[in-house]
Amino acid sequence: MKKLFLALLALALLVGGCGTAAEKVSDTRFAMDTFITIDAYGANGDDVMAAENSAFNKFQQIAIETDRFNDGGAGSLWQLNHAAAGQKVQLAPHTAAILDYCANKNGPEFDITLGAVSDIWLAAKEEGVVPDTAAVKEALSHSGRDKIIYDAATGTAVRHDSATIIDLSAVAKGYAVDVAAQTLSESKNISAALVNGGGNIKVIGQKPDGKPWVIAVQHPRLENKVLGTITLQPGQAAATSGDYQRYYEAEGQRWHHLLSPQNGSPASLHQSVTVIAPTALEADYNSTLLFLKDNAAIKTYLNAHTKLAAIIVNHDGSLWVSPNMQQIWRPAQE
Amino acid sequence: MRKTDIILCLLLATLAAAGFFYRQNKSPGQTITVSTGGRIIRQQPLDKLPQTINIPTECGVITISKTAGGVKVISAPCPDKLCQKQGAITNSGSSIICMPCRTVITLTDTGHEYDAILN
Repeated sequence: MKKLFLALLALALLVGGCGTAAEKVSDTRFAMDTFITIDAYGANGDDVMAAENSAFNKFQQIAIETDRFNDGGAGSLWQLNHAAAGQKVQLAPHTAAILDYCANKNGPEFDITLGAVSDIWLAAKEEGVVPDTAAVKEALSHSGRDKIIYDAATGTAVRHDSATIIDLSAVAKGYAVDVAAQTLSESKNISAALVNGGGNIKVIGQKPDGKPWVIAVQHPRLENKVLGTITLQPGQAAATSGDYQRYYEAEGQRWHHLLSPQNGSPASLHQSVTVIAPTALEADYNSTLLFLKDNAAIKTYLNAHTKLAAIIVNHDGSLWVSPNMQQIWRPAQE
Repeated sequence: MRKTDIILCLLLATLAAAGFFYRQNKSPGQTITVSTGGRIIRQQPLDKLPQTINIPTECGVITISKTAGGVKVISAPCPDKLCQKQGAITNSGSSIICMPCRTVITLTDTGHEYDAILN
């Protein structure tokens, strides 16, 4: 009888007791000109914090290497952009990896050689004016498919036009989020984690409560409101590109940061594009790419890329959700 | 097995079950949302918030601290520190705003919960 009593007591304590054993640690830091948040779960809070520190450090390393405004050392993006025309630059590992991904992707909707055009817009933003069309056109002449040659075999890159400026901001965050998530998944002290790098999210592992990861998508026009939520499986990623993220006002209009490679001006087809993909890099890249595509082209593209799903907020505020997104999308109740 | 033993076992089992269901059905409480520069950087149930947190903003670090049933700003880098003088907010729907630092701290009733916001 005593044994039964003790067993029941133990059961009572267990069931009525603490619940899950995992601790959650959440930290937010500033990198790549935005907020990076890591939420991670593990048995021991201190160990989880240490793993998060490692992940943040990796993120910061990538930020330094890919910062086109500051010299990030040998093989960094800044050094590539400041090399003489025709000079082959041996790239640092993260810069090489990103260029490897982007090498064949420059085109009318995505282009990593638009740095000079971005600079024109940044200068105009400082003055609160719209840039001179001639200046934009001139800057555009230094961009294009052939302006950057990357050799995967040697990990080197060369620009033949010294005024060409490579800008990796369309994909660097997604890349860094993947690396940070990878660092966390390799740690034996982490059972699950979510990395949110300024609009690029990757989730790994199962949350301790067994519930799926639920990600809210911000309303592109109403600051504290969400459009709805998406459910992510462990290992999935999502990213949003929007005209509300970075912009300034001039001549009664809003001018945002997502420039069209065709005319060097902010694209106006959509208010925001959210993409779900297997990696944060692909989500980041595709959210930029689709931002520059019209709806018909988006549908064609998604039919050919079935691992991607998308939510588009059109220019007029209407919503389009890709067919394979339907089951995991929950619009916000009003 | 004696009668008192049976009663004791049943009592323990009931208490355990009650404790289990209490945890599952606790009323949701409040959620704190911190946004800065137009982006939501933190959103979680108030009872999961650490006692003090530092919020990185474009004008420096704002520190907030939990109070009985709410939060307040305990240090801010802005010149007039209106957000700090405001004191604690405890009601759902109320906010502390630091305009120069473009930071808003809001309390709402916990409703739809999510793990992160894509913004």
